[in-house]
Amino acid sequence: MTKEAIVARIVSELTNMTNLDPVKLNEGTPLIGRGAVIKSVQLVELMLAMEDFAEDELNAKFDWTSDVAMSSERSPFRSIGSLADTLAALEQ
Amino acid sequence: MDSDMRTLVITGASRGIGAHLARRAVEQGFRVVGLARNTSQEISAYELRRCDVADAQAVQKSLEDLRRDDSLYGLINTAGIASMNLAVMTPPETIQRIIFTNLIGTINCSSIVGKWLTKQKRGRIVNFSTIAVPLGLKGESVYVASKAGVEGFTRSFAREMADFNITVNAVAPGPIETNLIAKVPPEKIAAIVERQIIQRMAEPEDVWKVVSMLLEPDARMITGQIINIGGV
Repeated sequence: MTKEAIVARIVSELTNMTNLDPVKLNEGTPLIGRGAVIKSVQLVELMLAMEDFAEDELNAKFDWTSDVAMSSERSPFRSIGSLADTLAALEQ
Repeated sequence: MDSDMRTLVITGASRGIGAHLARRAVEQGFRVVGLARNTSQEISAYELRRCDVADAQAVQKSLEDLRRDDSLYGLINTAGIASMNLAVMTPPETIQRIIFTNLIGTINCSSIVGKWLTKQKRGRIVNFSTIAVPLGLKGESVYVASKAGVEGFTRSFAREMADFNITVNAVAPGPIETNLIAKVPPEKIAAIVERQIIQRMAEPEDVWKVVSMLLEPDARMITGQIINIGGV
Protein backbone atom coordinates (compact mmCIF):
# COMPACT_ATOMS: atom_id res chain seq x y z
CA MET A 1 0.00 0.00 0.00
CA THR A 2 1.39 3.43 -0.91
CA LYS A 3 2.11 6.10 1.67
CA GLU A 4 -0.47 8.33 -0.02
CA ALA A 5 -3.14 5.65 0.47
CA ILE A 6 -2.21 5.30 4.14
CA VAL A 7 -2.32 9.08 4.61
CA ALA A 8 -5.78 9.08 3.05
CA ARG A 9 -6.83 6.34 5.45
CA ILE A 10 -5.54 8.28 8.47
CA VAL A 11 -7.32 11.43 7.30
CA SER A 12 -10.50 9.42 6.83
CA GLU A 13 -10.28 8.03 10.38
CA LEU A 14 -9.61 11.49 11.79
CA THR A 15 -12.57 13.08 10.03
CA ASN A 16 -14.82 10.21 11.14
CA MET A 17 -13.97 10.74 14.80
CA THR A 18 -13.77 14.55 14.78
CA ASN A 19 -15.28 17.48 12.90
CA LEU A 20 -11.93 18.37 11.34
CA ASP A 21 -11.99 19.57 7.74
CA PRO A 22 -10.17 16.93 5.63
CA VAL A 23 -8.93 19.65 3.29
CA LYS A 24 -6.85 21.07 6.14
CA LEU A 25 -5.28 17.72 7.02
CA ASN A 26 -2.04 16.68 5.32
CA GLU A 27 1.22 14.84 5.97
CA GLY A 28 2.55 17.75 8.01
CA THR A 29 -0.44 17.93 10.36
CA PRO A 30 0.87 17.35 13.93
CA LEU A 31 -0.87 14.71 16.05
CA ILE A 32 0.97 15.45 19.29
CA GLY A 33 2.68 18.44 20.83
CA ARG A 34 2.40 22.03 19.66
CA GLY A 35 -0.30 22.49 17.04
CA ALA A 36 -1.79 19.03 17.55
CA VAL A 37 -5.23 18.84 15.95
CA ILE A 38 -6.57 16.12 18.25
CA LYS A 39 -6.77 15.49 21.98
CA SER A 40 -5.03 12.58 23.69
CA VAL A 41 -8.33 10.70 23.86
CA GLN A 42 -8.74 10.95 20.11
CA LEU A 43 -5.11 9.92 19.61
CA VAL A 44 -5.89 6.69 21.48
CA GLU A 45 -8.92 6.12 19.24
CA LEU A 46 -6.82 6.76 16.14
CA MET A 47 -4.09 4.36 17.28
CA LEU A 48 -6.62 1.62 18.00
CA ALA A 49 -8.06 2.10 14.52
CA MET A 50 -4.55 1.99 13.01
CA GLU A 51 -3.76 -1.16 14.98
CA ASP A 52 -6.73 -2.88 13.35
CA PHE A 53 -5.88 -1.37 9.96
CA ALA A 54 -2.31 -2.69 10.18
CA GLU A 55 -3.51 -6.16 11.07
CA ASP A 56 -6.32 -6.34 8.50
CA GLU A 57 -4.80 -4.57 5.53
CA LEU A 58 -1.04 -4.59 6.00
CA ASN A 59 -0.86 -8.00 7.63
CA ALA A 60 1.41 -6.47 10.25
CA LYS A 61 1.46 -5.72 13.97
CA PHE A 62 1.52 -2.06 14.97
CA ASP A 63 2.90 -1.72 18.50
CA TRP A 64 2.04 1.87 19.33
CA THR A 65 2.94 1.58 23.00
CA SER A 66 6.62 0.83 22.44
CA ASP A 67 9.39 3.09 23.80
CA VAL A 68 10.03 4.38 20.29
CA ALA A 69 6.40 5.35 19.90
CA MET A 70 6.56 7.31 23.14
CA SER A 71 9.73 9.20 22.18
CA SER A 72 8.82 12.78 21.25
CA GLU A 73 11.66 13.03 18.74
CA ARG A 74 11.13 9.75 16.91
CA SER A 75 7.49 9.12 17.68
CA PRO A 76 5.30 8.04 14.78
CA PHE A 77 2.61 10.25 16.33
CA ARG A 78 4.49 13.45 15.42
CA SER A 79 2.41 13.98 12.31
CA ILE A 80 0.10 12.27 9.89
CA GLY A 81 3.11 11.78 7.60
CA SER A 82 5.31 10.16 10.25
CA LEU A 83 2.48 7.85 11.23
CA ALA A 84 1.98 6.88 7.59
CA ASP A 85 5.74 6.25 7.23
CA THR A 86 5.69 3.96 10.25
CA LEU A 87 2.72 2.00 8.98
CA ALA A 88 4.14 1.75 5.45
CA ALA A 89 7.41 0.37 6.87
CA LEU A 90 5.51 -2.37 8.70
CA GLU A 91 4.27 -3.82 5.42
CA GLN A 92 7.80 -4.41 4.07
CA MET B 1 -22.21 -16.85 22.75
CA ASP B 2 -25.23 -14.96 24.06
CA SER B 3 -25.33 -11.53 22.41
CA ASP B 4 -25.71 -9.96 25.84
CA MET B 5 -22.84 -11.96 27.29
CA ARG B 6 -20.26 -9.73 28.94
CA THR B 7 -16.69 -10.90 29.44
CA LEU B 8 -14.76 -10.16 32.62
CA VAL B 9 -11.04 -10.67 33.04
CA ILE B 10 -10.17 -11.56 36.63
CA THR B 11 -6.55 -11.81 37.73
CA GLY B 12 -5.58 -14.02 40.64
CA ALA B 13 -8.60 -16.14 39.79
CA SER B 14 -7.25 -19.51 40.91
CA ARG B 15 -7.88 -19.03 44.62
CA GLY B 16 -8.97 -16.73 47.43
CA ILE B 17 -11.03 -13.64 46.70
CA GLY B 18 -10.30 -13.86 42.98
CA ALA B 19 -11.74 -17.37 42.73
CA HIS B 20 -14.81 -16.36 44.73
CA LEU B 21 -15.44 -13.33 42.53
CA ALA B 22 -14.97 -15.45 39.40
CA ARG B 23 -17.51 -18.04 40.58
CA ARG B 24 -20.05 -15.38 41.55
CA ALA B 25 -19.56 -13.49 38.29
CA VAL B 26 -20.26 -16.68 36.32
CA GLU B 27 -23.42 -17.21 38.41
CA GLN B 28 -24.49 -13.70 37.45
CA GLY B 29 -24.12 -14.49 33.74
CA PHE B 30 -20.67 -13.15 32.99
CA ARG B 31 -18.15 -15.05 30.92
CA VAL B 32 -14.99 -15.06 33.03
CA VAL B 33 -11.45 -15.32 31.73
CA GLY B 34 -9.23 -15.86 34.73
CA LEU B 35 -5.50 -15.30 34.92
CA ALA B 36 -3.28 -17.03 37.46
CA ARG B 37 0.33 -18.09 37.87
CA ASN B 38 -0.79 -21.50 39.01
CA THR B 39 -3.47 -23.16 36.93
CA SER B 40 -3.24 -26.67 38.28
CA GLN B 41 -6.58 -26.40 40.09
CA GLU B 42 -9.65 -28.15 38.72
CA ILE B 43 -11.97 -25.29 37.81
CA SER B 44 -14.83 -25.95 35.43
CA ALA B 45 -16.97 -22.83 35.96
CA TYR B 46 -14.64 -20.51 34.11
CA GLU B 47 -11.57 -20.49 31.92
CA LEU B 48 -8.23 -20.15 33.70
CA ARG B 49 -5.16 -19.07 31.76
CA ARG B 50 -1.63 -19.34 33.10
CA CYS B 51 0.02 -15.92 33.24
CA ASP B 52 2.24 -13.81 35.49
CA VAL B 53 0.63 -10.35 35.57
CA ALA B 54 4.02 -8.77 36.30
CA ASP B 55 5.02 -9.65 32.73
CA ALA B 56 3.25 -7.25 30.36
CA GLN B 57 4.08 -9.28 27.26
CA ALA B 58 2.67 -12.41 28.87
CA VAL B 59 -0.55 -10.57 29.76
CA GLN B 60 -0.89 -9.26 26.22
CA LYS B 61 -0.31 -12.74 24.79
CA SER B 62 -2.70 -14.43 27.21
CA LEU B 63 -5.56 -12.05 26.42
CA GLU B 64 -4.85 -11.32 22.73
CA ASP B 65 -8.11 -12.99 21.62
CA LEU B 66 -10.07 -10.37 23.59
CA ARG B 67 -8.48 -7.43 21.76
CA ARG B 68 -11.31 -7.28 19.23
CA ASP B 69 -13.97 -9.02 21.29
CA ASP B 70 -17.06 -6.82 21.59
CA SER B 71 -18.16 -8.70 24.70
CA LEU B 72 -15.17 -7.45 26.72
CA TYR B 73 -16.70 -5.55 29.63
CA GLY B 74 -14.33 -5.31 32.53
CA LEU B 75 -11.28 -6.23 34.53
CA ILE B 76 -10.91 -7.16 38.18
CA ASN B 77 -7.33 -7.04 39.43
CA THR B 78 -7.20 -9.30 42.47
CA ALA B 79 -3.77 -10.85 41.84
CA GLY B 80 -1.62 -10.01 44.80
CA ILE B 81 1.02 -11.31 47.16
CA ALA B 82 2.01 -10.27 50.64
CA SER B 83 4.95 -10.75 52.94
CA MET B 84 4.16 -9.67 56.47
CA ASN B 85 7.54 -8.60 57.72
CA LEU B 86 9.46 -5.53 58.77
CA ALA B 87 10.88 -3.79 55.71
CA VAL B 88 14.40 -4.02 57.13
CA MET B 89 14.02 -7.79 57.30
CA THR B 90 12.51 -8.24 53.86
CA PRO B 91 14.88 -9.55 51.17
CA PRO B 92 15.24 -7.23 48.15
CA GLU B 93 13.95 -9.99 45.86
CA THR B 94 10.78 -10.26 47.92
CA ILE B 95 10.30 -6.49 47.86
CA GLN B 96 10.55 -6.51 44.08
CA ARG B 97 8.21 -9.46 43.76
CA ILE B 98 5.54 -7.72 45.86
CA ILE B 99 5.82 -4.44 43.96
CA PHE B 100 5.87 -6.17 40.58
CA THR B 101 2.87 -8.40 41.21
CA ASN B 102 0.68 -5.99 43.15
CA LEU B 103 1.45 -2.66 41.51
CA ILE B 104 3.07 -3.32 38.14
CA GLY B 105 0.70 -6.25 37.57
CA THR B 106 -2.31 -4.03 38.16
CA ILE B 107 -0.91 -1.36 35.84
CA ASN B 108 -0.04 -3.92 33.15
CA CYS B 109 -3.50 -5.49 33.09
CA SER B 110 -5.33 -2.18 33.39
CA SER B 111 -3.34 -0.63 30.55
CA ILE B 112 -3.80 -3.57 28.21
CA VAL B 113 -7.45 -4.34 28.93
CA GLY B 114 -8.26 -0.64 29.37
CA LYS B 115 -6.89 0.10 25.92
CA TRP B 116 -9.18 -2.50 24.39
CA LEU B 117 -12.16 -1.32 26.45
CA THR B 118 -11.85 2.17 24.98
CA LYS B 119 -13.16 0.72 21.72
CA GLN B 120 -16.37 -0.33 23.45
CA LYS B 121 -16.81 3.16 24.95
CA ARG B 122 -17.83 1.44 28.17
CA GLY B 123 -16.30 -0.73 30.83
CA ARG B 124 -15.46 -1.38 34.44
CA ILE B 125 -12.07 -1.79 36.09
CA VAL B 126 -11.90 -2.79 39.74
CA ASN B 127 -8.53 -2.83 41.47
CA PHE B 128 -7.66 -4.21 44.88
CA SER B 129 -6.05 -2.32 47.72
CA THR B 130 -6.23 -2.95 51.46
CA ILE B 131 -7.30 -1.13 54.60
CA ALA B 132 -3.66 -1.54 55.66
CA VAL B 133 -2.99 1.55 53.51
CA PRO B 134 -5.02 4.09 55.54
CA LEU B 135 -4.11 2.26 58.77
CA GLY B 136 -0.39 2.22 57.95
CA LEU B 137 -0.03 -1.18 59.51
CA LYS B 138 3.29 -2.12 61.10
CA GLY B 139 5.04 -5.05 59.45
CA GLU B 140 3.29 -4.51 56.13
CA SER B 141 5.17 -1.50 54.80
CA VAL B 142 6.21 -3.04 51.46
CA TYR B 143 2.75 -4.49 50.89
CA VAL B 144 1.21 -1.15 51.91
CA ALA B 145 3.55 0.70 49.55
CA SER B 146 2.48 -1.50 46.64
CA LYS B 147 -1.20 -1.01 47.42
CA ALA B 148 -0.83 2.74 48.00
CA GLY B 149 0.56 2.76 44.49
CA VAL B 150 -2.52 0.91 43.30
CA GLU B 151 -4.73 3.56 44.94
CA GLY B 152 -2.84 6.40 43.28
CA PHE B 153 -2.97 4.63 39.94
CA THR B 154 -6.71 4.05 40.38
CA ARG B 155 -7.43 7.76 40.93
CA SER B 156 -5.34 8.91 37.98
CA PHE B 157 -6.36 6.14 35.60
CA ALA B 158 -10.01 6.88 36.38
CA ARG B 159 -9.51 10.34 34.89
CA GLU B 160 -7.76 8.92 31.83
CA MET B 161 -10.60 6.47 31.17
CA ALA B 162 -13.51 8.78 31.97
CA ASP B 163 -13.85 10.07 28.41
CA PHE B 164 -14.47 6.48 27.31
CA ASN B 165 -17.23 5.83 29.89
CA ILE B 166 -14.94 3.41 31.70
CA THR B 167 -14.98 3.59 35.48
CA VAL B 168 -11.95 2.69 37.59
CA ASN B 169 -12.30 2.03 41.30
CA ALA B 170 -10.52 0.11 44.01
CA VAL B 171 -11.89 -2.12 46.72
CA ALA B 172 -9.88 -2.25 49.94
CA PRO B 173 -10.81 -5.13 52.22
CA GLY B 174 -9.53 -5.76 55.71
CA PRO B 175 -8.49 -9.26 56.76
CA ILE B 176 -10.48 -11.98 54.97
CA GLU B 177 -10.02 -15.69 55.49
CA THR B 178 -7.80 -16.54 52.52
CA ASN B 179 -4.30 -17.92 51.95
CA LEU B 180 -2.99 -14.35 51.89
CA ILE B 181 -3.30 -14.06 55.67
CA ALA B 182 -2.91 -17.75 56.53
CA LYS B 183 0.40 -17.15 58.32
CA VAL B 184 -0.70 -14.03 60.20
CA PRO B 185 -1.25 -14.68 63.92
CA PRO B 186 -4.95 -14.58 64.96
CA GLU B 187 -4.31 -11.89 67.60
CA LYS B 188 -2.84 -9.61 64.95
CA ILE B 189 -5.87 -10.17 62.71
CA ALA B 190 -8.17 -9.37 65.63
CA ALA B 191 -6.24 -6.15 66.35
CA ILE B 192 -6.68 -5.01 62.74
CA VAL B 193 -10.39 -5.85 62.70
CA GLU B 194 -10.81 -3.78 65.87
CA ARG B 195 -9.59 -0.73 63.97
CA GLN B 196 -12.33 -1.08 61.33
CA ILE B 197 -15.56 0.88 61.78
CA ILE B 198 -17.44 -2.40 61.56
CA GLN B 199 -15.43 -4.59 63.90
CA ARG B 200 -16.16 -7.85 62.19
CA MET B 201 -14.05 -9.87 59.78
CA ALA B 202 -15.49 -9.59 56.29
CA GLU B 203 -16.16 -12.59 54.08
CA PRO B 204 -15.44 -13.00 50.38
CA GLU B 205 -19.13 -12.50 49.69
CA ASP B 206 -18.93 -9.01 51.25
CA VAL B 207 -16.29 -8.20 48.68
CA TRP B 208 -18.45 -9.55 45.86
CA LYS B 209 -21.35 -7.32 46.96
CA VAL B 210 -19.20 -4.21 46.50
CA VAL B 211 -17.58 -5.44 43.27
CA SER B 212 -20.92 -6.42 41.73
CA MET B 213 -22.28 -2.98 42.56
CA LEU B 214 -19.34 -1.36 40.77
CA LEU B 215 -19.86 -3.64 37.76
CA GLU B 216 -23.46 -2.52 37.33
CA PRO B 217 -24.09 -0.39 34.22
CA ASP B 218 -25.98 1.99 36.54
CA ALA B 219 -22.75 2.64 38.48
CA ARG B 220 -21.51 4.85 35.65
CA MET B 221 -20.91 7.85 37.92
CA ILE B 222 -18.81 6.01 40.49
CA THR B 223 -15.15 6.30 39.59
CA GLY B 224 -11.76 7.04 41.11
CA GLN B 225 -12.97 5.81 44.49
CA ILE B 226 -11.31 3.60 47.06
CA ILE B 227 -13.96 1.66 48.98
CA ASN B 228 -12.70 0.38 52.32
CA ILE B 229 -14.76 -2.67 53.27
CA GLY B 230 -15.72 -2.45 56.91
CA GLY B 231 -14.71 1.20 56.97
CA VAL B 232 -11.69 2.92 58.49
